[in-house]
This record gives sequence, C-alpha cells and structure tokens, in this order.
Amino acid sequence: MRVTGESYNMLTLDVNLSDARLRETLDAVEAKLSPESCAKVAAEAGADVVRENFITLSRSRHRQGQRLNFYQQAADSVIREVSGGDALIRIPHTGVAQRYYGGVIKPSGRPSAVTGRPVERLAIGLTGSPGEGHVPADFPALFLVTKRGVKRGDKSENAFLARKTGGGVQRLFVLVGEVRQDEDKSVLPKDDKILEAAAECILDLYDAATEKNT
Amino acid sequence: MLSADYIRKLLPVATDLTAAEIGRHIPQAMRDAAVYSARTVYVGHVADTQQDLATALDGKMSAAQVRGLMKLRLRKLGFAPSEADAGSLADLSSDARTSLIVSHQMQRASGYAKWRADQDADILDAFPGQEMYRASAAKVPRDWMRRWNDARAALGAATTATEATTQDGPFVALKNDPIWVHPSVNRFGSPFPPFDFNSSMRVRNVGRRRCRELGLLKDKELSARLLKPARDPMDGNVTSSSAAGMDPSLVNAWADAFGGSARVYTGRDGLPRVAVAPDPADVLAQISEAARAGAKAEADFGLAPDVLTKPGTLKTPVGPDTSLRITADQARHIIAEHGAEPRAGQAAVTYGDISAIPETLKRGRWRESTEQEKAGYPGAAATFVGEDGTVIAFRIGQGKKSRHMTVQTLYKVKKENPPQA
Repeated sequence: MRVTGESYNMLTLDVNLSDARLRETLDAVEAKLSPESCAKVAAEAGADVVRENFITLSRSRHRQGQRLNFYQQAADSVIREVSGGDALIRIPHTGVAQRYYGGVIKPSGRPSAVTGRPVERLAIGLTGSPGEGHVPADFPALFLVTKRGVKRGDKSENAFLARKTGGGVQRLFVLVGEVRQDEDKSVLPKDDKILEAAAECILDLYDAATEKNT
Repeated sequence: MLSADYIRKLLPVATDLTAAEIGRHIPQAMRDAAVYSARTVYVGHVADTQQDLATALDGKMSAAQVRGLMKLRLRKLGFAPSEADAGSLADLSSDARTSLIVSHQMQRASGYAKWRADQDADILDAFPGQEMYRASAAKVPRDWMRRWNDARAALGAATTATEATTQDGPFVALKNDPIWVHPSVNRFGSPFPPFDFNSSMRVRNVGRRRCRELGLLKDKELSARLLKPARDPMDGNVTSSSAAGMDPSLVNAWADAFGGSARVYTGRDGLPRVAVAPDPADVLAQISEAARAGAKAEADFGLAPDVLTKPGTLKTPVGPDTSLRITADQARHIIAEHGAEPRAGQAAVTYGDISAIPETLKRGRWRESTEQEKAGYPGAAATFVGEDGTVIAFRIGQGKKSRHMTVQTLYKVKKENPPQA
C-alpha cells in the first residue's frame, strides 16, 4: 500500500492489488465463491426453507391420532441438487406435487394389492372414521356396501367399504370415480424467502473463505 | 434417491430379539448394515417392506400404502397377535407398530441422505453446525435437556456443543461433533436422526456466522478437525465395532445372517469385535462402472478368508478384520493387460470376471505370491489360484486405520495350461 499526501487534510491510499498476500485471499475467495459452490450452498439454504415450511404445516395441519405425519415426512425427503451453476431443490414425497398443483385424481387401473383386480375406483377414508388417513389394505375383511337402488357400475359417491363391528356395520371408505383436489401453493414457501436464505448462506461461504485466509 | 439407495443396501435380518436386546447384544456395525424389526422372524416380510420403503423414498408410493401392504402381507402369512398384544406395539400388524416401522425407517434413510449430502467441503464451510429441535409436540416429551447436557459433560473439551438451558435447547454443535453419536443423545449410534424411537427431534443447518456467535468455532484446532468431511460407512468400506459384553450366541447368530460378509473375532485388545463388509456385488458393479468411466474409486468387497488369518498359508497371517479391496485403476489395468489381447495360454478377462471375484474365491487355494507376481513390491502379498484357471494376486497393506488386501492383477489361464497352484 502506498500513501500519498495531496494536502494537509487528505491522504490517498493506493492499494497494491498484485501483493501476494492480497492476491492469495482474492484467489481463495474467488475459488470458494465459484458458481458451483454458490449453487450448492444456495440450494441447501433453499432446501432448509422448504423443510421449515413443511414442519410448520405439520404442526398446524397434522391431525391428532394419525400416526404417519405427511408433512414431517415431506420435510425429511427434501434434498438439494446442483446442475453446473443451477441450484435445485427436490421433494420426492408422494402427494406433495398433487397438493401444490391440484387437479383430478383418477384410479390407476393397476391391480389392487387387496383384491388383485384392476383399481377402478378410489377409496377415500371417511373423515372421523378409522379409515381416515388409511388405505383399504390396512383392514381385514372389508366388504362393499351400496346405497339402496344403486345400479352396477355407478361410480358416484354411493358405494362404501365397510367392516363389521359388534353386530353393526362401520363404513370406512367411500368409493369414487375421481377426486378433485384444489391447488395449494402454501405447501411451498414464497420465492423471496428462498432467495433471502440463499443470499445469507453465500455470505456465510464468503465468511469461510476470508476466515481461512486471515 | 440417496435415501432409497441406502435402504436397498441394508441386509434384511429376521430376529426374535426385542429392541432392548438388539441394542444391548448386537454390535453397532451389524445394526448399521441391517434392516430389521424387533421380534420379527418373517425375513421375507422384512425384505418386502424394505423394497416398499425404498419405493416410497423414491416418491413412487405413499407411506400409508407401505403400511397397508405390511398388514396385508402379515395377514397372508397367517400372523395373528395374541389377545393381550392386539393393537399394541407388540402386535406386528397393529397400526401403532407398522406406523412406527414405516416412519422410523423412512426417517433413518432420509437422515442418512441429509447427513451424506452435508459431508461436503462447501456445505461444511457455509453450514458448519446443526441444531436439534422438536418438529412436533410429543405426548410424553423426553428429557432432551438432561440427555444433551449429560453427553456434553461426558465429552468435555472434545465437544463444541452449546449448553442446553431449557427443554428446547439450544442443542447446537458442529456437524461432525461426537455429541451426535453419544449414547446419551443417540440411541442408535448413527450420526443422523432418528435419535430415538418415535422421536420427532430433527436437525437443521446452522450457518457459519451464527456458529461463530455461539462460540462453536472458538477452538480452531477442534473445529478444523470436526469440519472435515466424514467417511461414509456406506461407501464400500469394512466397518467394525466392539462386541464386548454382548451375548456371543446372539452376536454369532446375526453374523451368520450376513454370510461371509461379517466376522466375529478377537481384537488387538483381547476383546470381541465384529467386522462387516459391504455387499460385494454392489461394490464390484460400482468399481467396474468407475473403471469404465476412467474415474478414481476404491472399495472393500469382502473380508480376508479364514485360511489367511491363521498360521499355515502365509508366513505372517493377516488380521481377521483385513478387507479385500479393489481400485478402479487396478480394474482398468487388468482389462488393459489381460482383456482384448491376452498373453499366450491365457483367456481374455472381462469386467464380468472382476464382478465374479467373490464367486471365484470360493474354489481354489491361496499361497504366498511369487517374486514375479509381486513385481518388485517389498511388502507381503498373497495369490489365489482358482480351480477354473483364474489367478488373482493381492498386495497386503496397512492403511491409517485398517488393513487390506488389494487386488493387484487378475488373469485367466486356459484349461489346457493349468496354473501352478
């Protein structure tokens, strides 16, 4: 660094950027803040925000008595990926994309694990019944119950899967031809939250680069 | 998905032990390499559940479907709980039990995937720490403050952990801090959640500047050591752990379930230990792939055979925890030297022959390597001569923490020219 006095009340500092020590620090910062490294930590920071959002949802939406926590498992599934300088966050949890985009769910037509026959109707657990949050395979000896006068092949909400309980019949699932799910954009956090976290973590990465060279 | 791959690599083990007995009598190395459920003797059921869990972790099946299929399978197997057990955790088909297994195993696999992804220099620089926190309210909360502080006190200067002042923590430490595997904090001993059964404690990243504020980076030497990416036990390495104080018959029964991939032996301190090798088929497939791609890789594909651990075959027997190792460089070298244009009297070696090494080693005999086979190598070396004419030479080496026999070369002598045994 060179100091020159231009007047009695002003000094000009001329910083020599080719100085070996300074160059070393700048090189280290440049290497540490490569597009790939930044993308990696930005993706991880974004993944954290997505995880946090699922955990918040799990606290408010998880129903008492349900043993499998959908949103907590969604949070656990979140992973980061990078492709060159691009940061990606993946959520490989069945049902998250369905909730986010919404749309019509139709039977797969694949053979049922329970009956072996192609699945032509969806079994939806009835709210407040033991079927809620479950699938038919959870229960032994289910049988079909239809409302009086329902014709064969009717796929409206007129048929149920039920079980016998203490001399009575308990309906657990309603069988339907399709289900429409409304889109729910709140399953993902807002973009600005992800970007804010990404910016913060790049400062952390910068901090690491400078700390190692001081 | 990494989490799905993790669960697929585990060995399904049938056991009639309780969770407490497994924790007390089964060494960590075997527990880490296995998928099991307390008092579940239906190994097919465990294996099918393992596959379903992997499908769910790939995002192709819901957790509720996995649970439903578990119950369906148990009904088909004719399982019926006793009247006293019905509906409880002891009932394999109960909602409580099947849900516990599904959520525990999925959390375990996801925990591994996150931990594995964290073992990266950039991530450890930006997020050196992690915080354990309660993701959802528990009916009967465990005393995590006491557990954490007990572990912290026991570790003393070896830990960077913050002191927990409430039941909500703060439970913060550097990512590779020993507190994460301390038995007070972690019932299972793996460096990732779950830390206990049915626990909703999770971990989240803590950035570098926050770690500094909390004093986690104060001890430069300690933090530098704890911020080195850790070795992944799933990356094709033999792992070993103590079996001291455990019931030998139970340890041996589990080791048997691993076939030749696990060995119970006496360690250098005179105490019993167990060594577990990864699945050889998986390892050799990965090494062949790396060799074809020109990449660097090395992995253990088994344990040194019994005959070499006892006097008689080699001048100095190898240790019982010695691994059989192969590198992608050597696999490439073998194919280059003995592949397309084999020497006179030899048959062409393919990557299929490299994948078949564990099978080849079952029929033939071992001997000291000749000076020619050692090709100037000053250390110990052993050669296997297979009944089918395959000759495999190994160099015996000592790493920082482990001993290994590394494949040096492999060639196949045509049947009309039987190799010298």
